[in-house]
Formats: sequence, structure tokens, C-alpha cells
Amino acid sequence: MVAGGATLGAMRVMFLIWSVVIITGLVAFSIIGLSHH
Amino acid sequence: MRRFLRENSLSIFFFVIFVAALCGQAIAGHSLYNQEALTHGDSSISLWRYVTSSSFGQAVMENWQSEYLQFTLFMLATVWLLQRGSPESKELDAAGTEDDREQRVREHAHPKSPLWARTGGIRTAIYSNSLLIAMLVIFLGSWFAQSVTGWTDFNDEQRTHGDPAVSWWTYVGSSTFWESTFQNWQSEFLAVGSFIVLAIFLRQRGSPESKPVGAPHQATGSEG
Repeated sequence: MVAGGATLGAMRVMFLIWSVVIITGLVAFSIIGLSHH
Repeated sequence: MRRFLRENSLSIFFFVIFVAALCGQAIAGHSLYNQEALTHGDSSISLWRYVTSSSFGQAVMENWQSEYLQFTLFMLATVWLLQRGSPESKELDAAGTEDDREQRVREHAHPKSPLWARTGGIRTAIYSNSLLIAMLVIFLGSWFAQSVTGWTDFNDEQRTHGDPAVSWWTYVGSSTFWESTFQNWQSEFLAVGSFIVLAIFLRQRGSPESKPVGAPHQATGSEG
């Protein structure tokens, strides 16, 4: 089944949330490590 | 709202238990950190200071990197390698990257195929490997984050013992770094390998990770 516009939007939101969590984690802990915190 | 929850329940479920487990790790790790600090005659730190510390970061990142390595290797290996009878393997005659018709790219793309599957050229080449690229970047990124947080944590320990700090290069060549790396890798490889083989003979009714309950043991690449 191919999703309609609204469903595709919800899927994009999930994609965005997970991407933000991962990138935030990687960048934040890289900075913490590099700043000798 | 009910429809949103139902259609995204799998990712929402894992997001909720991810956050809960991370909070559990932070609370337990904070408690342990402060117990050890008091034992050594140091002052305790706040929960916020702990979750923004290299000690917590190293513990989180070493697990992240191994999980993303696991999925990266699993995805890459299953393109070419096979396991007769496993639902995680492709059918025995399907090894390789498959042709454009099977992959619905370029002139074989459907009207609703993603744009980059239709265009051909470098864009289709990139999009054809985009999931692998993303997982690989996350693996390398979290492994780097593990190395710098572990390095800082290691040098903190060195200082408390009156030993000199080491460079990042020295740390990434140390047995401390590789012990924490390999201890995570071995468990991931064990879990993936055993899952591939257990799924030949065992079933979970209703799961796409399993063959249908009545599928023969010899059936390869079928999903429940």
C-alpha cells in the first residue's frame, strides 16, 4: 500500500525525530569528549 | 491521533523504551559515579554534570557504535552472503546487488518511485546505497565519539593516580579502547549470527523476522 500525503508527513516526522536524536547524541558527546569535560 | 499511533507504533515503542533505558543508565551510572567519588574522597556531582560528562558519554557511545556496526555489516553481508533456510537471507539465486528491473530503478522505476531512483546517474547510485551510507556514518561518528569521551575519561583517571595524560592517538591504540570496543562487537556478532541460524528451525508466528510457522526448514528468504 502506498501512503497518502498526510501519512507520508507522519512518516517524515518519525524520520526527522530519530535523525535529530542520533545526530544530537553524536555531536554532543564528540564535543564533550573533545572539550575534556 | 489513534491512526498516527497505530501506523507508527513500532518506532514509537522503541523510542519510548530507548529513552527509558537511557534514563535508567543515567540514574544508575550517576549513583555509581558518586559512590566511587566518595570512596576516593572526592566530592559528588549533580545528575546534569554526570550526563554531560565523558564518563557517561563513553558508556553510551561504545554501545551505539557497536549496534550501528552490527546493522551496517548485516545489511552489507546479506547483499552477497547467504544462509540456506534463514528468513534473514535472500533466496539462494539472488546473491548480489540485483538488476535494475528487480530494484525498480532508472527506466524500470514506477511513477511513485522516489525521484532519485528514477533519475539514473550519480544520484541513483547514491540513493541505491543511502541506507548503508547513513548507518556507516553513524557507526563511524559514534565510534569517534566513544574515542574522544573515552580519551578524556582515561586522562581523568591518569590524573587522579598522578600519571601523565596521553594523546588521542595513544589512547586509540591502547588496550583500554580496544577492550571496550571488542567487548561490544563480539556480543553483536554473536546475536546476529545466532539469530540467522536459530531462525532456520524456530518460528515466531506473525513476525516478519521469522518464516511462517508452517514454512519448511529448507525455505530460504521467506517472511512470515
